[in-house]
Amino acid sequence: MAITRLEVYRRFTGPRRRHPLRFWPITAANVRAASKRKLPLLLLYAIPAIGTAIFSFFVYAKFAAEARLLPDGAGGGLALVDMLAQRALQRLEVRNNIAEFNSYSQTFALLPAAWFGSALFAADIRAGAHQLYFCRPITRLDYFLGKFLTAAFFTACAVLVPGLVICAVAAFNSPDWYFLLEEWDVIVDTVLYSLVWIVVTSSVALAVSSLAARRSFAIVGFFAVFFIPHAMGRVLRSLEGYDFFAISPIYDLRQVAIEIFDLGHSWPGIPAATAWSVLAGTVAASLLVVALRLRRLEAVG
Amino acid sequence: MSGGAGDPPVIALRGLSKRYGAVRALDGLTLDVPPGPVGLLGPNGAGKTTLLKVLLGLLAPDRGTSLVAGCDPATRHGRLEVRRRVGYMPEGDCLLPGLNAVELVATLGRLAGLTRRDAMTRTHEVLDYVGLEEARYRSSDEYSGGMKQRLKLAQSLVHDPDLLLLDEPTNGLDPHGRRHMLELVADLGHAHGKNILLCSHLLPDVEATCREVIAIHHGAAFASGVIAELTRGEEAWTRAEVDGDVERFAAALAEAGLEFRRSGGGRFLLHAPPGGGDEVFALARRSGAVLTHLASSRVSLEDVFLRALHEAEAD
Repeated sequence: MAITRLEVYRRFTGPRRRHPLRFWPITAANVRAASKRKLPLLLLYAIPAIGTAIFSFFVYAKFAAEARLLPDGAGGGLALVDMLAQRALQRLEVRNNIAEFNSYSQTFALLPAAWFGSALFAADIRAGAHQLYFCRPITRLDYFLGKFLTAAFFTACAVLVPGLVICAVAAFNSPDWYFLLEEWDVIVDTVLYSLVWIVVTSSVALAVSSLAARRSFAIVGFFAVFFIPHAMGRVLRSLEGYDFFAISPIYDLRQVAIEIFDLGHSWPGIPAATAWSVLAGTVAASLLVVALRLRRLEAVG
Repeated sequence: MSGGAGDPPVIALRGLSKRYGAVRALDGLTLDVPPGPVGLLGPNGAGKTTLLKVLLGLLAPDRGTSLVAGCDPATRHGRLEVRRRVGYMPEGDCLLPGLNAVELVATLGRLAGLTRRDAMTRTHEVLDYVGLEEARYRSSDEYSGGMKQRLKLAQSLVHDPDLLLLDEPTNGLDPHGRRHMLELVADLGHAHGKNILLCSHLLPDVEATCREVIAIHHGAAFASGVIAELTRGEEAWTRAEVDGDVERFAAALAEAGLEFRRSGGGRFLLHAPPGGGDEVFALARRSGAVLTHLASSRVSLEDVFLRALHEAEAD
């Protein structure tokens, strides 16, 4: 290990390794840089945090109510009340809670992806930072993964973490770890849906970020990708019918949530294959844009 | 151009060509860059930055081959190996936004293959070395132009590369900052034996820091050599100052067939052959003049560069 001495250049005699996870320092540096500004963090995660608290309380209330109702109901005489209570409890299923949470917080969960994801390439391009990255022994894929994981981290904090918190509340409040033993698939569904959400929003955020010279332009582009088709879907629905909902990634994500959580809703009524295809196409197009832009960024510097 | 005493070249280029549409950035460039500090001179648009990008594997040449520290940057493996061994200081502003100097240099050190601990140790060493020790925890976004240049130099040094590629390191610096930067580069090249390729259009920068120079124009090398030899040679002038009978001394010089120019009073600029100082002394003594100053006056690198450039353009 070298010793620090003022104003003397010292040779480095330690090892220089070939890291298998070369993207990791990029992710760590970008998360650190983005986390320095506390106000955006507070504003962007306040709503998901409040939503998490509310839906966690619903889950807690469900198990608390079950614990009180079932012994009384078993005693007889209050069958109708029990039946109504059971009906109400069904609406408080953890699965429904997480799906409802995702539905209500969808717009707010887009905000962190927009704010943090849109800056990742745009800020580098503006500052010329990509030149410093690409003169290191990393590939374009490493650079992309470093940025993608940064966007994914901040998006996950708004989608995956709340879902897992609600699941944790359910697990700790369910009798005899019932939730973990019998409804563990809800956790898998939560992770799966969150991954779909994270991949779609992060890919779009990086694509617009790679095309924009400023973060503000990238944020506008990000919301344009999500909300212009959304608005068009609504307009076309009023003119033609439900099928046009499929052009909106937001509706497609909602439909995918219905499929993954097996909610049985009919709305928005997009065929599952169509919803998955549109989302896959959105991700593929975004990644193609990023790949082409990175190729150019690396070369032109 | 070849390295001294049989040293293998640090960079070997053979017929390297690169076009941007109709513009030929590199035009069959063939040269060997020897170890030590070497200046890459050329006017703006000569192809210097393009050459650096080709050397780092950031651009693929249309034709020709290049070897940097024994690795071929045209291949994927070679490119990564080159970047592992080379430190690059880009020309323009290019810092990682939102990070302070320590975070920036440490991150880039880790990307170069250092462990987390080594990266942090090296970061503090190189920041001390470039004189940013007081400002290391300030956001680099708040740095002055000179501090940013030094930070760029620090990040290029963090992994102790075998070869430094410095692209216009004194760009945008005030005289004090420029002097500091040149001292650092000269120290790295001369005191620490770093292999440096210093790209610049500022001849004094190259003259102050490098042992050898390669001049390129329109993507081709038109002059190269050891700076001390290029600026010496037969055309060197000798500066002489005499007291006493100045006119007789001038007549004696003319009689001896020495070319000279008078620059006021007893000051002469002589075109004497190497080792001609004794003859000048003898002429002064015979003509009754007292020689008070005699020193060789080298041709400046600028003279050499401009003459070679003129000849290249004439060809």
